[in-house]
Amino acid sequence: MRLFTFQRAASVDEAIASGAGAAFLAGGTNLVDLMKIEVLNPERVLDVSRLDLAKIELREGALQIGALASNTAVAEHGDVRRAAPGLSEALLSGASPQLRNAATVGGNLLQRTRCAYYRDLGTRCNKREAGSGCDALDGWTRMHAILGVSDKCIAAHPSDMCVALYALDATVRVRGPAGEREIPIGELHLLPGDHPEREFSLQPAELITGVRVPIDALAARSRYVKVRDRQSYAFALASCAAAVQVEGGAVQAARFALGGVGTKPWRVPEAERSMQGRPATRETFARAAEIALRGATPRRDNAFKVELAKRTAVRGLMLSAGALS
Amino acid sequence: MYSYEWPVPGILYGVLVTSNLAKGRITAVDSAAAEKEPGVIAVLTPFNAMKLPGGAKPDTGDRVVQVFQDDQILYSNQPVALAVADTFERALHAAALVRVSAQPLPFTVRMADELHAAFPHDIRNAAGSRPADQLRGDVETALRQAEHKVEAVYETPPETHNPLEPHATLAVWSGDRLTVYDATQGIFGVRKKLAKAFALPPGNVRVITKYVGGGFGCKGSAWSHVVIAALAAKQLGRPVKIALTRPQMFGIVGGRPQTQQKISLAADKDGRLIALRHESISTTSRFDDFIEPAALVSRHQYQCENVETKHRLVRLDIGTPTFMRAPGESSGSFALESAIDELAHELGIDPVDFRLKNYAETDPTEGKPFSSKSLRRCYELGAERFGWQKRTRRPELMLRAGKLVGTGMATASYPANYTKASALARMRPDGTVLVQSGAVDIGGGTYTVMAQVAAETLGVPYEKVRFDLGDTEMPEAPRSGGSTTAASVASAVEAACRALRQKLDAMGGRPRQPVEAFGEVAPSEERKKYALHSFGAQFAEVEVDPDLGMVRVTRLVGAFAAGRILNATLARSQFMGGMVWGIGMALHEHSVYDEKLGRIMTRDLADYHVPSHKDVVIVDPIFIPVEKDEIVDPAGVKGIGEIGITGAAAAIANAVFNATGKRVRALPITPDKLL
Amino acid sequence: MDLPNRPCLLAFCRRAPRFEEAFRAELRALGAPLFAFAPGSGTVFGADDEPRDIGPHPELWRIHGAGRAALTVVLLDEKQRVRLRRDAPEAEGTLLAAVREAGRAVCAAPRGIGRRELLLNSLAAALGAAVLQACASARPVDDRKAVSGAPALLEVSLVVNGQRRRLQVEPRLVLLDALRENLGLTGAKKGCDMGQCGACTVIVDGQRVNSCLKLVAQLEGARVTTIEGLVQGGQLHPMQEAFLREDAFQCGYCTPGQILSAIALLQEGKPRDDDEIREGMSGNLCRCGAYPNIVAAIRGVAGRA
Repeated sequence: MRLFTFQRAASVDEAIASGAGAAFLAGGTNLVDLMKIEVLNPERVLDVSRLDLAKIELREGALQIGALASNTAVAEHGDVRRAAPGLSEALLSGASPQLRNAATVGGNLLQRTRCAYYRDLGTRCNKREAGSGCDALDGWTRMHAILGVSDKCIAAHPSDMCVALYALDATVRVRGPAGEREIPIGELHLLPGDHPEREFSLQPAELITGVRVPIDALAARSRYVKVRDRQSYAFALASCAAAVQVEGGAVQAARFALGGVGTKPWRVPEAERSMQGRPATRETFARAAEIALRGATPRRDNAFKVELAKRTAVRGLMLSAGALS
Repeated sequence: MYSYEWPVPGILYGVLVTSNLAKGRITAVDSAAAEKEPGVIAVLTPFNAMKLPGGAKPDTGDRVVQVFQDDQILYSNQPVALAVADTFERALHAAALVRVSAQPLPFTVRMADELHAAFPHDIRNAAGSRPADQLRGDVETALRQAEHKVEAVYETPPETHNPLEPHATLAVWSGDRLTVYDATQGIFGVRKKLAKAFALPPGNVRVITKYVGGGFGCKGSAWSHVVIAALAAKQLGRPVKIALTRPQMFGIVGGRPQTQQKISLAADKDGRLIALRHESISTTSRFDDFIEPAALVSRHQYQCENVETKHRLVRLDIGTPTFMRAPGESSGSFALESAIDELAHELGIDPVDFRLKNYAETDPTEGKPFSSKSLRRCYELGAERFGWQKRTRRPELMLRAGKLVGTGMATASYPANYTKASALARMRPDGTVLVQSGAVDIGGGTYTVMAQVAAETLGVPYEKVRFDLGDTEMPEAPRSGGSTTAASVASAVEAACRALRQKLDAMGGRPRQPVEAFGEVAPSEERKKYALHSFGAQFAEVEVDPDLGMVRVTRLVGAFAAGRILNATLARSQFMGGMVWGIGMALHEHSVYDEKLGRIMTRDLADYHVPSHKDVVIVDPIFIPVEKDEIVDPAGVKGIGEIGITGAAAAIANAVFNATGKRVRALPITPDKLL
Repeated sequence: MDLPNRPCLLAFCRRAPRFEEAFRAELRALGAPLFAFAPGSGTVFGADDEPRDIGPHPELWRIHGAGRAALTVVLLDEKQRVRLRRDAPEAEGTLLAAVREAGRAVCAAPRGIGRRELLLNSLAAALGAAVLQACASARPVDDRKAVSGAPALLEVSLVVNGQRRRLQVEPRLVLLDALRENLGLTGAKKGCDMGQCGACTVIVDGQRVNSCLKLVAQLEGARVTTIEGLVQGGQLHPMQEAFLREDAFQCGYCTPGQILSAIALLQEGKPRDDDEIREGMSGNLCRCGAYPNIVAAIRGVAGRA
């Protein structure tokens, strides 16, 4: 780890005022990890972990979750479990209890990719070092994305929480020098395109203060399914957060997002619309999954993800629709 | 106290810089930025490191090391420099600042590229030396004429041991005397290597290893960092300690080599094996020979007139592989026991019955009797415990909570190794006893078991005995590997204690002065007349998600017969650990190379998966408490550290076949292979 | 107490050092007994004997002017004359180093006439050198770290196992290294150094975390519990007892993390079945494969709670 200046912010205002050029540090599970292996090298670290941003409450038809709420706190919160079970399941499927105790919602929103090349300074990576090239493209691609890729980067987005939040239509509250704004979560993460080093739509010194998750009948039906190489403590090969509302055997409303397969959490509105009014059956869900995976660009080692993602989506939708025990 | 933790004032922290290239020549090392950092003492490189007095290649028959004596890069992640600082964080950062320039050279890490140059290599390990190839009968004709045949290629991937304690070495010089605290399975091997490297009499080198945080084979050799720690301490005139980072565990300190095994099996209509051919190819480095003796298991496992086994090596530009928990028997049993299952399935014979039909009463290759063999009993006990008779042959409809359920089994076996060992026993006037032997305890319970053996032999209470180990000042004992420690050291401890007992009896009771006796044992000639193995039977139940391909081993029962069991609790844990390794081998473990970079990319514990708590449900080892065997060694003990993994991966793969109808012949069985 | 009529070593330690395997190993080479005193206790170590309690002997502290430094070592000859007396700023490591050096000197001393005198001289030289080296390297933490070019050190105060500890650290120091290298608490283990194995698990402010990913700089005022803090009044924690009972460890390296994680797991809520224990413990890898026994240990403690 390079040496850096360490400061503690006493208030959100102070954090924003001195945030330019600094890395905000909360739980540290991602930032400290990447600093240790010198993938991220901030000269100044601003500790925001003691700010008063850890509240979780159900208010104005939405779950209002503070950016510093720990993953554990959110996952175990009664309102979250009732109103958005898929979010709780997604969080509990990620990392380990120790990491979830330290990791925060804000940090998880900004979680960096697990691409093995990004993490290995002995290889080239456009995300780590703009314009340096990408060794993953024709390398070991089993864990890489098949959706939203570019010829500069195929790194998969690693978060489980973000996938669930996306399916739940969450918005991210941020405050910066220019004031407060809300970003739909689908717009927080950027596609790699020609500039994989640009990962978030945040402006300098903008601090995530919280997340708003609208609560409705659909959210209450949300579920999360994750496929991985071992039973726990592993990143997703494919995952799906799904929410389906069924009336009289037909799909009233449905949303689903995919994880482990996109360069960002992945949602396809057309796929969701395709289920509208149709019978809540495997066929309907399979068709939606088919649409969602259109345009997938697999590489040598991750071709299986196309089929796996479809099956995972179907499983998620079936579960949410109550079509499985 | 683990090796990195010994308190030494004035200690310096060393962190290795390793190569990004897979092959090349180092042209320059720029350490200027690193050396400017606060607290950095030095950066050692091939250009400024001291020349080893013992010569550039301190080889002792142990693994070949790379210790800054030349400019060659022979594999990715090879040590090329060492950053030394007054704190760990400073050394770690300094290492990251070192820039190595090198002239790249062509390389390959892909087995297929070098198959044309595969060559036979004989097998040398704890059990002695065996020829690469062995042929008995006429396999070719038998295969041609057979009614029922299986011919298939089975593949096991490169794996990495990953003990939870990273390799660590702490070196302290005092004049021309060197003391090294090393995370090793064999202190005398480390001493030999260091004495050679620094041209010292072995007596000037002392190696101390009180606790080891897991070994599994990779700590059985003195690798590069061991010599580098001593070199740095010598050159800098201060004690130095080095621990490998987790990514540095991949390549520098060995791993299980990749294997490709072709099995040809034939049986007559009654289910009797008439031909067995097992051809194994495994990988090694360009500069050192390690062979995974995967086909050995086929030489003795089943009764068959026509048996051919072959071992081939291919050289790749990788770090040298090494023995990893049951080298040969683990990977080899996956191939053989899968093929046996395939043939049993084709014949429509129950897999246990098929194995019983082909039970070898004597070693089929050499015609020797087994010193003891209770495999039949293992099949019985295991099948009963597991509930094997309830098995369905066509389980496609067996769904439990939406999961396919399947069962499978396999035979387990591992050689009963035994080597020279010695021990010292001393009784003090107060009746307490100290027994010493330069063995190590890598988690198998050597401390406990040897104290127990000593107490029993001397006829004194266990509380009165202390067993100490892990110091080259003590009587020599073998490396803790190849499941040799219990058999060899227990025999030596018994010998020492018997000698002490005689002295005491002659004196007529408790001594007024401390009395000590030395015991040494070595394999007898008689032993060579027998085939010496432990045996067992593994039974697995799996649940497979029919859509998503995730496999969970819900139950693993192993029944073993391994001579005299010294301590039932510890033995159960050893068998259990081996079986859990079988789960990892079957479902998770794979060191994946980027073939273009020649580099292992699964270089941490998030990408290299070992089983987690959630992957291990019921693991249930049972064993025959006393399998009488007076041949194997004086203590009547067969090692138990490795047999638990043998057959386990095959039993699981066979269960997956039973559940899904899919035969996965290339490990690990990840979800993508079952879609 | 009678001191022997052969060379021996006295060590006066302001805080009792832990005489573990390190000392046993070194003492064998020393060939001279070591009398170690801490306030209120005294122990004698022969080369191969079990340590024996000999009581505190305050008069020896007075005679040798001990107690001002963390460690005072005294070398006596066979007539109990003082041949060397040295103070050192840090007891545990220095004493071990001193014994090690002295042991080497004994091994190196030639045999034959005049050996005893040579032996004493070499012992004295070795001990002196070890202590001097300790003095040189054991400067207070702030001196050592404030090397030119380094940014200011942070002062952090935390409570470790009930004791307030003040540290001056570089901002990049993580809790795991601070515990192991700065505070001498090696119970938390380094398995991966990146939050992927759980061997470094400790409890911070009531929650289990990976200490390898926690900057000390963030922990001002935090309460940290490590495996060393579990023993209360000489009694093992019930979870430690359960691990012993179930043989829930082999090499022992992941064990402190498993135990702390297990304790936290049960504080978080009672697991309903074994699978909940497994899921809740999945952040702690055990490469030896002791998982079933670990789960049995936790189940046992949970059942009694």
